[in-house]
Parts: sequence; structure tokens; C-alpha cells
Amino acid sequence: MLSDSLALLKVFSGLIILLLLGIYSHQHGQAEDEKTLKLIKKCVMLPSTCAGRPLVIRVKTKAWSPESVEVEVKAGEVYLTQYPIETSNLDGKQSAGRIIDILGSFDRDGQFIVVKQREDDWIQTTKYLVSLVGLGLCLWLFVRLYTLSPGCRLPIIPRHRRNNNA
Amino acid sequence: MPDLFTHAATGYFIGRSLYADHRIGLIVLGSILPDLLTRVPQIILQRFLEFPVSHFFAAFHTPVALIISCYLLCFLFAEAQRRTSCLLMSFGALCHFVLDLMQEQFYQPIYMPWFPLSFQAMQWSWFHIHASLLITPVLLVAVLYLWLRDTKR
Repeated sequence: MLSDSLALLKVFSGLIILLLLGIYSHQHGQAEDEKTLKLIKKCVMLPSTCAGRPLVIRVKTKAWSPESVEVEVKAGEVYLTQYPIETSNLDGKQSAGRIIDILGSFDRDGQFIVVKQREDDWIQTTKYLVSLVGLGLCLWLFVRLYTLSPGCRLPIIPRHRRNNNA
Repeated sequence: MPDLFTHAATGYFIGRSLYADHRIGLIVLGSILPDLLTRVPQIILQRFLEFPVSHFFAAFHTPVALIISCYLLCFLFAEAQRRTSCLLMSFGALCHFVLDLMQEQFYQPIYMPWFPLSFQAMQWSWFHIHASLLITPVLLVAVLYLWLRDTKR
């Protein structure tokens, strides 16, 4: 199974299986996204029909008042500018144009009560930077431990083995 | 997901506790593999180029696809190394997956351990999604200390 015989066929078959898994996941995900999109549109247009139902939505802040924040909800690629909603419990800087993911539910008055919120802030950027450091360290470690054999097909071998052979 | 450094450091600690040679590198490589196969293409293609490929690449962050990927990657190694490479990279990748299951997502779980048999996602919610950043400095010092000590030996 791991020998060189029919290696190309084995690799090709593996790639096909991965491709099929990806397509299967894509089809299912698209169908789920469509359902979610319909639900969000329905809830934003008729909030009373979704009272108490937990929802995750991406919003853009519009106007702040002491009691609530008016936001536009993103549905698919566009913001539903004609159907702004009122939210409460939204934290952070009181400015228009902030894009925030919020978890919560509509109450009976059609106001969206925020339970949890997430924003692309410095934490996410730091996480990406730390990840790049991790990637760099991994590659450095791997290059220290492994090398390419001198053969024409260049398979990877442990570095000490090549040194021993030399 | 915890950041890639946390995954790599976890793979390094596990690898170091089991081996003292080049095999550590295989576990570390396996421990970052799921994010290399999934998050990197998602960030580049979906986030920056706006291609709708998020669900396609999500399939590669599942145990079945990771084992197949490790099987494919092991063909980059010399024939004598393939079995060890495949097993240790798969082990590292599964450690990554288990670490991801431990964190709490924003709302619903996103990791699908039973894919393609089921799309049922799972999470254990043991720590916050950004908690890994808090221990990054400690991990960095520990990894560098152990690596330098091993190199001197």
C-alpha cells in the first residue's frame, strides 16, 4: 500500500477521494447556507415570527441611542438596508459602520437582544501573526530534521541518514 | 481554532515525550497540517479573493480527509520512511483535531468528526476560542528552552 509500485495511481486515487469529499461538503454547506439565508431574511422582515429563536447574524452599526443600536443585517452578500433592526446589549465603541457578528434572539417587540458578539479586532490579527510564527518554526524544525535525498525523485529522508551515507 | 503556534508547540511536546530524533518533526508537521489544508486556502481564496470555497475546504479538517492527506504526503518520503511518516503525521493531525474540539466556538460547533458519514459537528467547550493566545508566551519560552537544550546535547 505504501510501496513505490503504482505510486502515481495511489496518489491520483487519493486526490480524487479528497476532491469528492470536498464537493460533498460544498454541496451540503451551500444548501445549509441557503436555509440560513432564508431564515435570516424572514426574521429581519418579520421579527415577531422568530421571537426567542437563537440567531447568529452579521450586522453593520448605523445609529446609537442610549437604549438601543440600529443596525443593518447582512444576508448573503448584501446588507438589508431597507429593514434595519433595533438591538440591545451591544458593547464597544459607539460609532457607525462597525461590522459585528452577534448571537442573540428577537424579543416580542422585535428588538434583537445580543447575548454574545465578535468583531475582527486586534485579537484576530494577533492570532494570525502568532500562527505565522508557528508556521515558520515548524518549517524551520522540519528542515533541520529532514532533507532531500540525492536521487532523481527527491524523496524526503531524515537528515542524519543522509549525513551517515555521505 | 487555537493559533498555529499552539498546535505546533503541542505537537512538539507530544513528539518530544515519545521520541528523541527526527520523528518529532513528523508529529509537528501533522499537528499543523489540518490548518494548512483548510484555513490557509479559506483565508486566501474566500476571505481575500471572495471565492465561495469555505465548505469545500472544511472537508479537509476532518479525521478521514486528514488520514488520506497524510497517506498522500507520505509518498514524498523515501519508501522506507513512509509507514512511520504516515502514522506519525496522522497522529499529529488527530492531536490537532482533538485540541480544536476542546475549544468553545462562537455559537454552534463546527468540527465534524464523523464526516462523511454525518455532518454532525461537535465541541467540548473546555476553553475560550482565543484562550490559546494567553499561553503563547509560555509555550514559546518552553519550546525554545527545550529545543536549545536538546540541540546542545
